[in-house]
Amino acid sequence: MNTKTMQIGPKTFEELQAFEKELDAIGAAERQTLGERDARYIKGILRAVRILEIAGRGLMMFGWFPPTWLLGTFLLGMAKIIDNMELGHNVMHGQFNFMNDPRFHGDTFEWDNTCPKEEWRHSHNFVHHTYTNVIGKDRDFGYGLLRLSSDLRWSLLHPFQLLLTALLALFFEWFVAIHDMQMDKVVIGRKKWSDVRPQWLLVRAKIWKVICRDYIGWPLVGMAVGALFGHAADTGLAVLMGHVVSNLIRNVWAWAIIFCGHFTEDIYTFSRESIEGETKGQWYLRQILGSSNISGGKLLHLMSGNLSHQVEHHLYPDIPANRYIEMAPKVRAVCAKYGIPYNTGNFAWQLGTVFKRIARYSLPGGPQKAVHIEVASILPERA
Amino acid sequence: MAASSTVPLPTMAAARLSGWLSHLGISPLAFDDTLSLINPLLTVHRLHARIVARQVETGTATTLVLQAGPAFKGLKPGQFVMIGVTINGVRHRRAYSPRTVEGHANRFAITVQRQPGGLVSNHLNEHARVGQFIEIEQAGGEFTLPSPLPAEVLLIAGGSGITPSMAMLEHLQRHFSKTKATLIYFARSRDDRIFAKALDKLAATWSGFQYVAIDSVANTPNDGSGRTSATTQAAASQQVLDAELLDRVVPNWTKIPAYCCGPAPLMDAARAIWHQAGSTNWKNTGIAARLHLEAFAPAKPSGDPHARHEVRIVRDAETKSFQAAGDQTLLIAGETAGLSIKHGCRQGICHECTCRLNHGSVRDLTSGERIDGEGQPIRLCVSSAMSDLDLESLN
Repeated sequence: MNTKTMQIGPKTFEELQAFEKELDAIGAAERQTLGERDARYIKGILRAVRILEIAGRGLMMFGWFPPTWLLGTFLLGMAKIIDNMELGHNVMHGQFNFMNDPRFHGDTFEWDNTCPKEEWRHSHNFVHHTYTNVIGKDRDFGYGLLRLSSDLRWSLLHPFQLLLTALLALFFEWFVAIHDMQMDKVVIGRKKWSDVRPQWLLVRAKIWKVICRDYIGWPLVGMAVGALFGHAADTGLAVLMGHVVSNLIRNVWAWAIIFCGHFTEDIYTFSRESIEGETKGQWYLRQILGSSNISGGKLLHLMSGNLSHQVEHHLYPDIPANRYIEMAPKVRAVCAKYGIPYNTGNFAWQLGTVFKRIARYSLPGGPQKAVHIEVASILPERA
Repeated sequence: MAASSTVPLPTMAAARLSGWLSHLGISPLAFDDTLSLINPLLTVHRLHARIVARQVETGTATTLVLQAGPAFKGLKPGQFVMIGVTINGVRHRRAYSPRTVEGHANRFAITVQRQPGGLVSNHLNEHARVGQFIEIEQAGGEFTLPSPLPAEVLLIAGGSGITPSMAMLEHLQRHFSKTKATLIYFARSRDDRIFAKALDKLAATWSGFQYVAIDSVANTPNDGSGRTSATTQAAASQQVLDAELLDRVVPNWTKIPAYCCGPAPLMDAARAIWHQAGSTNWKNTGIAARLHLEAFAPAKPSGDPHARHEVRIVRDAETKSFQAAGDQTLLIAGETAGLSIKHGCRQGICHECTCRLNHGSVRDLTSGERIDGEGQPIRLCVSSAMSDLDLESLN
């Protein structure tokens, strides 16, 4: 096994236990006070999404007139971003299940995205959050497409991965939609198409809904409105393009935020073996080492669905995201106490290191390899 | 029924439009949210009502008059309406039996009796204000008068179980005052008697109405509310519902439809009396079927409190397990163990918490029957464990 064994953070088994208890306590304290405040917050977010949608689509009905078209497209893009990130992603984690409100129940919430909710809950809530950054387990690491550490053997496809990344960013929702079907395994023959077909039917139905609404339904409404003023075709086309562009805005932004969360320069990857018999404390440690935050203001936190607090989100995926901002200093203090790197930086910087990582691993070799984090006193003979 | 109303055309059109839009990925919930930005009463799926009046009935009961939106399909007297209120960010749902308010479409009144330790009933008594919106659902329930109306009916009520009977009585008096009706109403004292004045007035003005008010603590054991002091306890009688009482008040009670709503001891007594009458009178089969029962309070299991049963709930790929005592409902047991379990009314009405029982036995607290797991759907809020259980979530 060519795993690199490292020692980061808690140095003894007792320290690891104390570390686990401290993080448990931060979560428990927050969970106890869930209530009115969080409910009001998420209801406000939902209202904002609805109003932005109406405003965005309403403005598109004025056709190609630049000020209204640009603003309408921008607003609809914002609506989609907030719907997917601060509302959808967080609600689908079950963060607001405590409200017992069908609009915010993780199992029934459906978002404005081509990825069906069932597929997302499996690939994201279960696979990604359980096996974060474990090579060969966490399929979000590189999306079965990109080489982001030297754990993956270099191939002739990888020199083009910056270009591939651009495609991934532009069409992010489509890649996410088929993500859980694991098409890369089908292509190389490790999975049969017949196994994937039930998933594909689900995805196809969801994609068809989105096409009907964004690319057929609303443009037809636009044509009808335009017909009143004798510009049916023009207005219809303007509405269609408005939807295309707003979806692209959402795709690129969601891609950027998500890549900053796990693929920045200093994050760690882990070997399959390293998670065997993992304790809760070790799981916490892996989540911190495998995630990176983005520093910024309230607007950034909102528009990133609080994934700017990726570390806190990975430690406590089912605590309402609006709490992360208050939890961050406490988590950071615990990290400092145990000497664990807490990865954060501004958006431009973090995104820059993502590109650097993608560029570096488009070439063979590279320094970063999966690690096995050890606590000295558990396995002294290997320390 | 006279009380039900037809849904106006724009509302029907909105519901139809929402149906089409749901094929485009616009969920009914999203449709309603958008409509409620204009006015919460306009919604077509998740209905709302505005509190238009509030009146204190007794020291522990408040009546709220609610105006529902045009999508509300009306209600038959005796039916219940689910009310949803948000308390500290959490949505809670309870069933109440409303009385229609004459003169306004879709207006009805609910009377909320404080339950000791009751979250929703106390919240509504303390915090409900005129002008607020609360969530409602379409009326439901089979506790309604038969059609065509019989010449005579018997109503038996205990405590706040009077509310569906009151709705039926008001309806009969307004529209079918030739019908003979008898009400036997158990309460701890006159002060605890909801609608005391309204019933006296009804008895004075409606010749076909026989009103039998019984002050008795037999059906309402001291439940810790602190209101049953030593003096009232001594003064109140221990009169229970029995065949002798029925023979005296309504001699032909086995031949007319009967409706009983009240605390568990009263309902158990009624069930036993009608069952007994049905089995001894071989000429008149179907006596027991003339009795209609409606529970109105959360179920209280009476199983073994010391038994600890292992419960597993499978939902998608996830398995949750917890321990349940024999005297807890499965919902309470799961929540006590710290799990967040999908639920609604907590009294066996809405089926939000329905799970498939794949293995093990439970007691259904609404019927008292034992269910042995063969994949039947059970409701967690009205079931208690009798063995270790394997459950599969259906919602």
